Amino acid sequence: MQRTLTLGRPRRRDVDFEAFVVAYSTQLLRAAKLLTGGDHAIAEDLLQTTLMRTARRWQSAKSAPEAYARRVLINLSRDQHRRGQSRVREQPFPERGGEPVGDGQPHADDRSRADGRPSTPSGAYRGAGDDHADAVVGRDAVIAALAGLPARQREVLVLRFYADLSVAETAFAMGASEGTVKSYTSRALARMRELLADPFVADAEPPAVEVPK
Amino acid sequence: MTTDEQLIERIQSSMNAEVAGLVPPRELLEAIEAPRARGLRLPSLGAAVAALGSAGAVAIAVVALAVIGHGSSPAGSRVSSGSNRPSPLPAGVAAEVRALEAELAILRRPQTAADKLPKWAASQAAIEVANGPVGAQLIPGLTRFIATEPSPIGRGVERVYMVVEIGKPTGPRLVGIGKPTGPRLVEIGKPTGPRLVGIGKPTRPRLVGIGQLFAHDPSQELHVWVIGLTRGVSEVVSSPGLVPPPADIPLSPAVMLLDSGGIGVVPDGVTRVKWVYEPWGYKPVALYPTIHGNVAIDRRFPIEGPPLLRSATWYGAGGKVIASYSDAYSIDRENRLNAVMQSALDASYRQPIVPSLREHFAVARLPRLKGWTAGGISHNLAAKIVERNPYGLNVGDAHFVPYGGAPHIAIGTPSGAFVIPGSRGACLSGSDPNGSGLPGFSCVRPARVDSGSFHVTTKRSDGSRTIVGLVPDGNASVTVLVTGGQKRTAPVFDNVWTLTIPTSPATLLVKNAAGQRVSVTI
Repeated sequence: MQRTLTLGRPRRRDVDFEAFVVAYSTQLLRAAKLLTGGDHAIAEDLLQTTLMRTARRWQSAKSAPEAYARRVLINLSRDQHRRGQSRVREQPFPERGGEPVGDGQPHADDRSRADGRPSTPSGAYRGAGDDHADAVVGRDAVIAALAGLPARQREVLVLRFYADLSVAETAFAMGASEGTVKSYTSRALARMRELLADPFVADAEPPAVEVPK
Repeated sequence: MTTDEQLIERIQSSMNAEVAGLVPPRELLEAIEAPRARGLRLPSLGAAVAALGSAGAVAIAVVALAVIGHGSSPAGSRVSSGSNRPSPLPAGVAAEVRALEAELAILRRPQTAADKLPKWAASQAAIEVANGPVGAQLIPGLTRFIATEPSPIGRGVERVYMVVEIGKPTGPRLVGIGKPTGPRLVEIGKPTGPRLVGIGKPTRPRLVGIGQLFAHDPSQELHVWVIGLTRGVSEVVSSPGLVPPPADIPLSPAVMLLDSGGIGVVPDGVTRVKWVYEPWGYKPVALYPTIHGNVAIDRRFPIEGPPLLRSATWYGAGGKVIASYSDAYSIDRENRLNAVMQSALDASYRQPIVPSLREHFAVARLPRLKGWTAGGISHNLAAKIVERNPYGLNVGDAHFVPYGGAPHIAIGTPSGAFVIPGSRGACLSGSDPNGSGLPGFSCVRPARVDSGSFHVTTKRSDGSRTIVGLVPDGNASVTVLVTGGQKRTAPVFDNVWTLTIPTSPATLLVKNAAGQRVSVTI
């Protein structure tokens, strides 16, 4: 996959940083989107700030830049969540087709679907006989339920089951103990189970829209 | 009973599908400064131009300040000894500003006293931008004086400035249709043939707009025109005269056509600009505007009044064409977009309505309205339909229910709700009855509609929220219990009700489609 980064003169440290950005920015962006409840625009802002802060602290971050950046991202998403209480929210909007991003090609980090079939670049499976409506609605329900979780519970689900981190890695990213992570995981799964079993919530219900007075 | 493993698998697959294909925009990564690198390497010319068309959060505008009668040239003004950005940049835009600076030499030089807008004009511009439909905030430290021009109205002189503004967050917008390649495309629809490339949020939710400012002082007037070199321009601005770059052409010189000539922003490396006008009934005429810094200006028109701009071209050193735009491409693009949209809507008209909706909701039994066109449908709704119409929506059977039970009309009343039935669900789009604002929009499955709990919410900045709901027949009114036990009642017209309540949780008491009384926390 071709990447074009023009990040200053090719010093050794720059090369390392560029390699880190190329390797992890996609994963960070995707995690950011899930952490923000599906808000792509805010996710990009978080990614940008995460990378900039990581760059500024590269000396201390470079030994484990992915973990460092993940922790920055988690902290930023918490800040964003707090700010979001008073922020005018955008109209929630389906983004099934993806966003105007990258080169539109499947990324190496694209995970396969649970059924083993690959996802398309747009995120919508196009296999024959697939009930697209059910897929969209089912996914809506999970994402809406995820967005409805308390921030810490959402973080733990994203880190453990999307980023595929261990309990210890999740604990580091969240700045919490491993016991706390396990506890959050248990509560988050229980809450997700409740929400997804509730037919009212199982339908897609986008978050409220705040209207300037 | 779902096991934990099954639940986790469902969560995992949904999360993966939700973000599959999502990669960071190239310009976002390019804007990140690597550690220890002193400033960004200037991108190649092509990259600069591409980025010029896609920087997201900030916009360039050109300000023409007419000083009638007593216009003094700012050329002799003293150079400011301060920083070129005296005030800190708003959070989240520093990278975009740096990207602009990398592409526009005029922004890289220090701001001088002459670059600053007069106080009255700056305050006017700030107010107008903040209150405008798309802009949010000017960045005073990036204002630059461009040139002094004869006033187009024949009196005094006119100073032209470049200003940079931050667009405001916005909702969904229609981007357009185009080639299946390029960094800014969103693919929705069939993988062959024309593709609808974007009904969705912009990647960076800040758009740019166009506005004109007039000072209160009758001897001075200020116009702000956003020439727009950001991604937003081609997506948003629809003001007459603007020739937006097509969304799928990365290199596209935007030209602002004013009543008295054209203005365009050009990146570094552009040495010559050609605009070809085609006056109605006349042969095309080519003009070569003067480039002042990073702004091309030509106040001439071949005939009175702004004619059509047929093409615009940027040339670099040696006459090499850097970018060009032709309106033929734009027209073709729009036609293809309309064709895709119309095809989706035509198919939508044939969707059957789920029987339970017909049975339990009077609004779904209303006759199809004559004269209904898809022209007024929201982008939210359009996206649902174009995206394979997962709820089987039938736009032809949509009905607008004005709050308060006013007579049915198809479109045009600002306060009311659209009910859009379908074969696999229904959508509800309700505007805020207390004022303007984004409508709430949601789609659900038939079981949820039958439950009587289907509603959309708009939160207001005063802490209250407006609920718009859809209930089955048999509900003459609905009751909402708010915190403290206070009971609020809302009448139901054509199955639609609305109520403004405090933000705290409330309980909705309604009858469901089976006639049972149910209570739902909302």
